[in-house]
Amino acid sequence: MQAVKPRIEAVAAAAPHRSGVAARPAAAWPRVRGQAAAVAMGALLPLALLVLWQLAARHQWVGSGTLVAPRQVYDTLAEFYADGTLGQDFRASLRRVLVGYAAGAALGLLFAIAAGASRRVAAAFLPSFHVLRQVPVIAWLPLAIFLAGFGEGFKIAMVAIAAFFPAALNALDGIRGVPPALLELGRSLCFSRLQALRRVVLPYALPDIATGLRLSLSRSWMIVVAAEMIASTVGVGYRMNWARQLFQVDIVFAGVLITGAVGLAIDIGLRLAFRPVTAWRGVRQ
Amino acid sequence: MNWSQRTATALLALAAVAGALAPAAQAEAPPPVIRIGSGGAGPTGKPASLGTLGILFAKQFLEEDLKRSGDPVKVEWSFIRGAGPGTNEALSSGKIDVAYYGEFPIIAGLAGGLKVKVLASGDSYNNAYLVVTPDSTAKSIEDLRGKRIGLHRGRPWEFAFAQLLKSKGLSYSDFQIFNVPQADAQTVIASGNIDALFTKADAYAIADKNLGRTIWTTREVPENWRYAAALVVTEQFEKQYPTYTQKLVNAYLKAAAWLADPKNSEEAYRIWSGTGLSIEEMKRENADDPFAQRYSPLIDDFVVSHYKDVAGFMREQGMVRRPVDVSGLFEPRYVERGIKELGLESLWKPVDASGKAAD
Repeated sequence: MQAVKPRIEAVAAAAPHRSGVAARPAAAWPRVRGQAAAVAMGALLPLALLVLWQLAARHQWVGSGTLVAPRQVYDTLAEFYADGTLGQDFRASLRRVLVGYAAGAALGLLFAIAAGASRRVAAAFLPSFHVLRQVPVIAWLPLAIFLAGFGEGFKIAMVAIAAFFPAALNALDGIRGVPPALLELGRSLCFSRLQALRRVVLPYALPDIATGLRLSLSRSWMIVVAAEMIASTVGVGYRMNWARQLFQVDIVFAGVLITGAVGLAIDIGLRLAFRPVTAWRGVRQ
Repeated sequence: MNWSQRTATALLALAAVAGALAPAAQAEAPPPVIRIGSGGAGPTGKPASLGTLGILFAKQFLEEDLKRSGDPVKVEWSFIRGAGPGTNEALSSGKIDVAYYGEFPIIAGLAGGLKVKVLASGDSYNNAYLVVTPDSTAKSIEDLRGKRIGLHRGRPWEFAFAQLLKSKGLSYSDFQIFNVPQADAQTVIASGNIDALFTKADAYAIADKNLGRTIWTTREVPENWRYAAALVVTEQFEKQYPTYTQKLVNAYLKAAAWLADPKNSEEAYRIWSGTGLSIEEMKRENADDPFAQRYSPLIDDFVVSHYKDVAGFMREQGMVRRPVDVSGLFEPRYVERGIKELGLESLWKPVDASGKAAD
C-alpha cells in the first residue's frame, strides 16, 4: 500500500482542489464496529443457505437421495487437503491464473494507454477491439490451442484473453474520461506527453483502471476452470469437471466452495489494495 | 415422539385406512406425466435423439398407446446437453423419470447413490476407433508407444481403449494420454498437438476431412468391448407406477421392433440425423450389424456381463470410489412381459457373455 501513496500525491498536485479527501475522520472505533456489523450482515445469507442445504439433504427434499450434505462436502475437502490433492490443484490453477492474468492485464493497460494517447492507434484498433470484446472468451479456445500449444500454453493464453478485455476497456473509459480542463492545466504547466500521462491521465483514470483489474482477475479465475477441461490432469477446474462427469457430487460442491472462496479472497484483496486510489471516485463527479 | 415421527405415524395410519378401504384390485393412479430425457437435440434446435429412444420419440409410439388406452398421461421429452453427466443430474434432481444413456454414466450414477433400474437394453454395439494423423507411420497401438494420444477420459469408449492396451500388455503409462473432450477432438487433432486420437464414430468425419486415418476399430475384437446405452427408470417411478412402466416398455419394444425391420432403416437414419450426425457416418458405423441385433432390447447375459466388466474397470481406474454391484441394477421382467404381450418372441435372440447366440 506504500507504493500507491506517491501517486495520490501526484493526483493532488495535478488537481489541488481535491486534496482534502486524503484526510480521514479520526473516529476509528465506530467504523470498526460498523464493519463488523456489515460482515455479520453479509454472513447471514450464506449461513441461512447452509442451514437450508443441511435440512434439504437430511430430509431429502430434492431429487432421489443424491443431494450431498454439507458435512460430506467438508469431509471431502478435509480428505483432499490431507492427501495433498487440494494444494496441488490449487497451486496449478493459481499459477495459470497469475501468469495469464499478469500478461493479459498488462497488455490491456498498454493497449488502453496507446489508444488513449494516440488518435491514430485508436482509429486503427478500437473498432476491432469493440467487435472482439463481444466474443465469449470460451470461443477463443480452438485458436488458443492452435497458437499456444496444448500443454500449459493454451490455458494461460485463455486466461490472458479473459483478462485483457475488461482491463483494457475500463482503463480506456477512465483515460478518455479525463476532463479537457485538466489536460489544459497540464499543457499550461508545460508537461511533456509522458508527464501528462503520469501526472494527470493515469492518476485520474486510476479508479477505473482498478475496477478493470479486479474484473479481469475474477474473469481469469472463471475461465481457468473451463480451460482445464482439456488436456489437464491437475487443477481445480479439472477436478470439478472430472467429478461432474463421474457424478461425484461432493467433489463438485467442494470445488464450487473453493472456487467461490478464492474468487472472494481475490476480490477483497484487490479492493483493499486499490482502496487508496479508488477513494477518489467519490469526489470525481 | 418428535414431530417427524408423529407425522410418519399419522401418514402410515392414513395409508393403512386407505388401503383397507380401497378395493383390492384397484388400478394405480396414473402419473400426470412421464418425463423422458436423453442426450441429443440437433444443431437446428429441432428436438431429436439417437438409438431406440430417438425412434420412440419420432414415431410417438408411447403417445399413441396412451391415447388409445384413454390414459390422461402426458409425455414430456427433454434433450439434455452434456449427455450422460447431464442426464444423471436431471435424474437426481427429479427433473425426469426415464432416461436413455450410456453404461459409464449409469454406473457412475449408481456409485453416487442414484436409485435407478435398467429396464431394457438400447444400442449395445457402438464402436471405438483408433485414429492417427495422416502422415503417421503407426500401424498399431504398439507403434504409438511414448506418443501423445487424445482420449475423452471417462467416456464409454475408454473401456475399449483399456482393453486394447491390456490385450497387448501395455498400460496408460506407456503413452502420453491427453484428456480431449469429444467436442474439441477435431480441433485438437488438426492442431498437430497429438499423434493419435481414440474416439467414436466421428473417426469417419475426421478421415473425410483428411485430419486422420483409422488404424484399428472394435470390429476386430470381442463384442463386449463395444459401448452401450440402455433405457433407465427411477426406482421411485417404477415402484409407484408399475402399470405405466409396462406401457412405456411396450412402446419402447415397438420402437425396437420397428428398427429390426430392415425396410425401416433408411427412415431411422433420417430420424437420427436430426441430432447432427451425418447419415453417411452412421451407415458406416452400423455397417456390419443388423439392427435386430444392434438394438436388441433384451437384458441378456451379454448385457449384464458387459456392465459387470465396465464397473470393474471403472473401479480399477478410480472412476468410482468404491466397488459397485451392478447385479441389482437390472429389471428385465417388463421386457419379458412386453415381448409376450406384443407377440415378439421370435424377433430378438438372447446373446451369451461372449457375444454369441445363447442357444
